[in-house]
Amino acid sequence: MAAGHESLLSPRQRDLVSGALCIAGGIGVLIEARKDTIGSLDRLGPGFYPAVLGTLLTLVGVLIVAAALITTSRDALRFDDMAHEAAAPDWRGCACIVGGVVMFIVFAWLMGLAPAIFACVFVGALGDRTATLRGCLILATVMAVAGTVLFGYLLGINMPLWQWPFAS
Amino acid sequence: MITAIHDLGHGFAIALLPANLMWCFVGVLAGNLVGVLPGLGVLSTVSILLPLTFGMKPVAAILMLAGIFYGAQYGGAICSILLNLPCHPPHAVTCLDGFPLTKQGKGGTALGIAILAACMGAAFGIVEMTFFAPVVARFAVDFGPADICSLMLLGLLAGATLARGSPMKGVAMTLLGQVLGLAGVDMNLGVPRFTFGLLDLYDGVELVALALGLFGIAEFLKSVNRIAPVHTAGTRVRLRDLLPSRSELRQAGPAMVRGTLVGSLCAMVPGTGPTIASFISYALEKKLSRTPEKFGTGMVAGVAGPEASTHSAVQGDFIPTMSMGIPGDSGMALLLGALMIQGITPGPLLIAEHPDVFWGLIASFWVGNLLLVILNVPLIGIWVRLLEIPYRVLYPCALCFVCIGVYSAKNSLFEVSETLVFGIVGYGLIALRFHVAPILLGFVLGPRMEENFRNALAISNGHLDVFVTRPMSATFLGCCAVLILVQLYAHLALTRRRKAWPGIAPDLAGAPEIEE
Repeated sequence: MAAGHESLLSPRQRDLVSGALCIAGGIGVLIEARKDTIGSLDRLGPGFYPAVLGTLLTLVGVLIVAAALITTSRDALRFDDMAHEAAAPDWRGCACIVGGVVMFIVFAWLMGLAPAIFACVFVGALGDRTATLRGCLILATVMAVAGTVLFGYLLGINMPLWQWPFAS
Repeated sequence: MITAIHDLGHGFAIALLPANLMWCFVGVLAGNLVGVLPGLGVLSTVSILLPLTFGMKPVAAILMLAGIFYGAQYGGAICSILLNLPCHPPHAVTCLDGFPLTKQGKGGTALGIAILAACMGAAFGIVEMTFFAPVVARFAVDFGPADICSLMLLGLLAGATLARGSPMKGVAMTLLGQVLGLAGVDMNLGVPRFTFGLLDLYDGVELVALALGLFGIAEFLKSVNRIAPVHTAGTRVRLRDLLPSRSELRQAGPAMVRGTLVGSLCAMVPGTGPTIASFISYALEKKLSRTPEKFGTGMVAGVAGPEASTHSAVQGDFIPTMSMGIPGDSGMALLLGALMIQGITPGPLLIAEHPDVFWGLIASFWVGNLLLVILNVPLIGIWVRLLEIPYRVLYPCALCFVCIGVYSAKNSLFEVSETLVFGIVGYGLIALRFHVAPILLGFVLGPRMEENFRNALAISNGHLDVFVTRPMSATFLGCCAVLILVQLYAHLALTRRRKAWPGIAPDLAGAPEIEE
């Protein structure tokens, strides 16, 4: 919402990248589809439908690129209804959110539910630019206790609540 | 007609069972809550609560998930009218006249009108579904694989092109969704496809992981540090403020009726959900009004019409989903996915084979809407105060719910990492101005479409003309062609004359949107 978030790419560049990605994806699907038999029309093989999807995706990619090349920048704005949504990423926030999920995976694997929730919420909360260490610790502790009671005891999640790593 | 009423009675018996009543209440409460809270959307809430339903009975699960959808509509109006925050896209246009009313000190009246319009729209939508859905289902029972395949194509095409954003990018997203749906060992073919040697992918991509990646993690990545804290000072609403005066009612009444009809029409066309319905309704009210220049300064009709149309469209959206198994938008696709997880095959036979689910759902709509009015009228002050929960507290909690929810779907941490990948990819796609919602539509419909396509060709001994010689299939394909032509025409016309849609386009530009 804050002003001044400049986008990384111009609308035309964005469409070119989008189209190129679709083409690359479509060709990737086609390559993967080649591993299975295509079959004949009355006996479709497992590779038929993926081949159709891959072809269509490539085609749509070509169309997007073509449209990006021929339209003027004013027209490109017509579909630019998400202008405020897709500004340059907030790197700190994004890193902390991704880190929070990674923390959850690592701690759930090594130590169980309660530490996983704590680590996930703590790291995730650090992503906000107004966050304080104290506030994050409090939020993470509250969530760890509440989450363990709710999911561990009431809903019976299939995960140890707490264990020492490498103890088994 | 008589049987429908009789069956509805049966449905009430199911919906009023204490357990089902409780889950219905949980659903509408959760829906109302996320409707109010900025930065949390309906789709992410449904995805977060989806794993909870795995252990529940099908009826209870579907009542709760459906409750989130229409519950959120009530909450969304509060946000729009009192704070000029379009937390929920269908209510973005309600801001235009709702917020000026608040500034004039008549926010309570606007809310009262909105709730009244909501009741009317919802009631019409539910009655429509009660009598119309069984008829559609009886009609659709005769569909062969070729017809179903063409209908699904129409659904996918409409979902991809009629929603916001570039139509071609929408098509690309439905294709991507279908590719994701390919992963795993196909039941009929017995070969693993698109598993990249990962044993965890042999069961296919998990719906919960995909939905939570796209609507959970990608949303957080997009919104973090972008949601400004909300100040609700000066927006205190008392119960007696909600009561509109007689002259205001006289203005709002006809608008509500028209809005309701617009909404139910939009629900019939696949791909045009409540958001489009509300914009059309607003434009219609402005056009019919004797004082169109006053719109945007606090016209009661500008609140009543769109609100009624939103609610009637939300209820009407359930008709194609429940009677034919064709979801109109990504939200309904998610609901359909939830049904399939419960072991219920969506399609024209659903009403006959699972009357408990269908009639229980309709009865729960009545119950749920009643609960929502009870929740919203006396407790309006509490909902307003909930708006003050800052995003910095909200998203870390939601993040850990996402992780736990995905894990509990299959008790596997692999799913959590899958979600993370989908989240990052989804955010990248959003940054490139793709709308990610059609991915879900393709993902849910894709495997069924492939199966029907294969069956259709097997029956016709490999003749592709079966798709044009069967009348129903030909009709659907014709609709697809019309859809593409209209898109092309609209594109050309808009390029030549930028103000082809007077009344809507400028308003659209002025109303920011936060979530699909």
